[in-house]
Amino acid sequence: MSRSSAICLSLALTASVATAEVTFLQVAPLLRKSCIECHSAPKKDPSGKMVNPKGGLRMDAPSHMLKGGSGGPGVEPGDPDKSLIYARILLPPDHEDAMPPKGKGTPLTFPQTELIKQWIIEGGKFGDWKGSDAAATVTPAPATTKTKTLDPLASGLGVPPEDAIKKLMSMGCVVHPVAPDSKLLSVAWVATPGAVGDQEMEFLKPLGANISELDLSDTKITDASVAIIGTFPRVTKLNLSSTAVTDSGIASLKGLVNLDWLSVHSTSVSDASIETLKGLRKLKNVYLWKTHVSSSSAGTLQKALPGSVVSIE
Amino acid sequence: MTLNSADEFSRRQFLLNIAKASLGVTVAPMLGASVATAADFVPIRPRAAKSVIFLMMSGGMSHLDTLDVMGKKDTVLGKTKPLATSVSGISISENLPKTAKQMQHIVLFNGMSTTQGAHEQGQYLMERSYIMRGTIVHPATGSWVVRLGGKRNNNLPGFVAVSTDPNNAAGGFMGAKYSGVPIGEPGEGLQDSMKPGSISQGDFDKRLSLADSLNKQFHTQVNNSAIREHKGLYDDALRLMRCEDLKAFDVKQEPSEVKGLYGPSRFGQGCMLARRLVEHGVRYVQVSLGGWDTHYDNFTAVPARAKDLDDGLAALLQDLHRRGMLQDTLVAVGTEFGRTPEIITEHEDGRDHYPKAFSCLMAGGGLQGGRVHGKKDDKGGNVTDGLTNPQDFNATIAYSLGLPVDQVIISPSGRPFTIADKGKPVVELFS
Repeated sequence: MSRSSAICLSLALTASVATAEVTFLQVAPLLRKSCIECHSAPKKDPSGKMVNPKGGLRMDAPSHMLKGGSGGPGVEPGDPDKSLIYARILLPPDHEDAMPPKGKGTPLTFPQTELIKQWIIEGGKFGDWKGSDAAATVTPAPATTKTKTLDPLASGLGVPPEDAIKKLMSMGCVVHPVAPDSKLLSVAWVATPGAVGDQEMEFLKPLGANISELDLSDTKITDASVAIIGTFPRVTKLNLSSTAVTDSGIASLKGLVNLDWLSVHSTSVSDASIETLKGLRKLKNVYLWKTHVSSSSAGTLQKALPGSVVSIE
Repeated sequence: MTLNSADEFSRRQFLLNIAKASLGVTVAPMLGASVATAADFVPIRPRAAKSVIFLMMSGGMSHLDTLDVMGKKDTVLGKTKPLATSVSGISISENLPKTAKQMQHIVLFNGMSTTQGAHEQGQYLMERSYIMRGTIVHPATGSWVVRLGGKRNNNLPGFVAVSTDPNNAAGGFMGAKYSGVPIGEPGEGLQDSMKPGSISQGDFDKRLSLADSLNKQFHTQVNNSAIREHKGLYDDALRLMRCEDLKAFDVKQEPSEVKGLYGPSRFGQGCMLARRLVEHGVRYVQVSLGGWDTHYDNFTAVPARAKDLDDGLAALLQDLHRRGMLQDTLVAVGTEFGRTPEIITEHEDGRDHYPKAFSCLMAGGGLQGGRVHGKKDDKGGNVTDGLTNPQDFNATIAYSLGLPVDQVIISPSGRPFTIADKGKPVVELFS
């Protein structure tokens, strides 16, 4: 950081800390970059040797920070000078106790040490952060209602095999989780779909349990592939538009009880599929434009599925 | 994290951003998930939309003659009459009769307000979320979408700008790699993308390798990012020339029923091209329609422009819906500002620029349609509810796409930027 911008920052910080309380949220990134690597729970190094936190000080939970290490409390609320985590970062870089030690962690700048000082002066409050105190009961990130409804679907589900995802992506298929950190996948064959047929289904099979959204529109797949899709238990959204799928393919989807969105527009699907679709009780959106389904059958289906929209054009 | 509107930026927020900017870190993944819960940040939308079609009405679309007629006085509406829509309780101008029938998909943004009253500056803010400055060129929203969300189809460009001034779709400090690929005439597809018929593939490859060898010395001597990026563009173009996905650009393949639906205008055909591109995995398509600068004879000029918009927009919504694509595709109609409620009689009933209050719309993309967000007074001159600035509008686009609105990208000059500046997405509009 250049000298002038450092001055700018320190001025800005001095002006700001005069009125706004510093939260742990602001201090946390600094600790992560500069301290946590050496000051956390005992762990094994690559050779299998146990490594204890340096100086007995752990900084991975509020209780550990307050308790401190061999040199005293890590944080003494209200008193930066008695707080080890502040006292040590103030030492000149060539001092033997200076933190972070040369070559380890990112050295802290003056505005950053001032921020930590101000946080301690204001009581060193940790907000909602529990760190390793929370152990297994880490509070999940705020979820919207949609992620909540997805959760039961993902319960007991393993992490999708990475090599299978990489293989698909190298073939022009787009694979990503349906939400950050979700084990459920959205899979769409976007690039050169005309070159994709039943033989490519082999590459989808390893991900079958994780696939929630599947878009194979415009591909050359046939009912043989659709039968395989019928065995993917967590499919909620399926796009088979502009493919060779027929009524017999649709019949093999009867086990997809989680399906809530289906497009088969521009296919030869007909009224014969209506009974199968009626059995998929979670269906909310069905797209039947340019199929052989009559508008009266589409109407029957919409009535049979409460809250659904069956679109025929 | 909280994203304040541009009017006030809290000190705490300022501190937090300094920490992020100077350290190049985001706070959320820090020290376990519980730290993130301490902050009131905008979550990333799960099962997000995949693409955006942004229809830019350049020149300043008169809100009172198009999207915002509800509860307005006759004196400000002039010759414009309201028309009931497919959603009871919502009316728009009779200049948009086909759009009115698609209202179940649409959210009207009637609380729009901008700080910029000149065309260039207003468009810049609408398309890039930052105030125009002499010291930097900000990337267009499409460039941000590709940068943060990645391409869906590697064979095609991520960002295409149809009938749009290439300057308005530039990647700015992100460079040529993220600029919108310009399409002048939608009917003519991607220009110069075909190998001339008289040249054999062998000759073509020979010429390419000759060009490469001629360029080699220059590329070695001047090895900077701009040169490397242009080399990258050539490679992309060559991959595209040999790929079946190139047909995405060819609107001639559309059946006549579909062509007719979008109408004959360049804008209508541009909307149809946009649908084809999105279908093939393009992330962001902008289609522009000019001629909205109706200082003179507003009540003749607006209906003429509105017809092209109406044909193109209504067709796009109908066509995306029947293909099951509307939930995954956000359609937005933007403009740089509105026009005065006062009708200027000495200019043959014209309307002048009016940045203080205007209207835009969005449809699809996971939005719950058939709603109105924001309100103006009965003169259409002041926003009284749901104030939305261009940054908020673009933040809502980012939210629809499941992109992080607080993700900081540092420019080569070392300054921090986000996709929608300090815009706050209107999260409650999503179902």
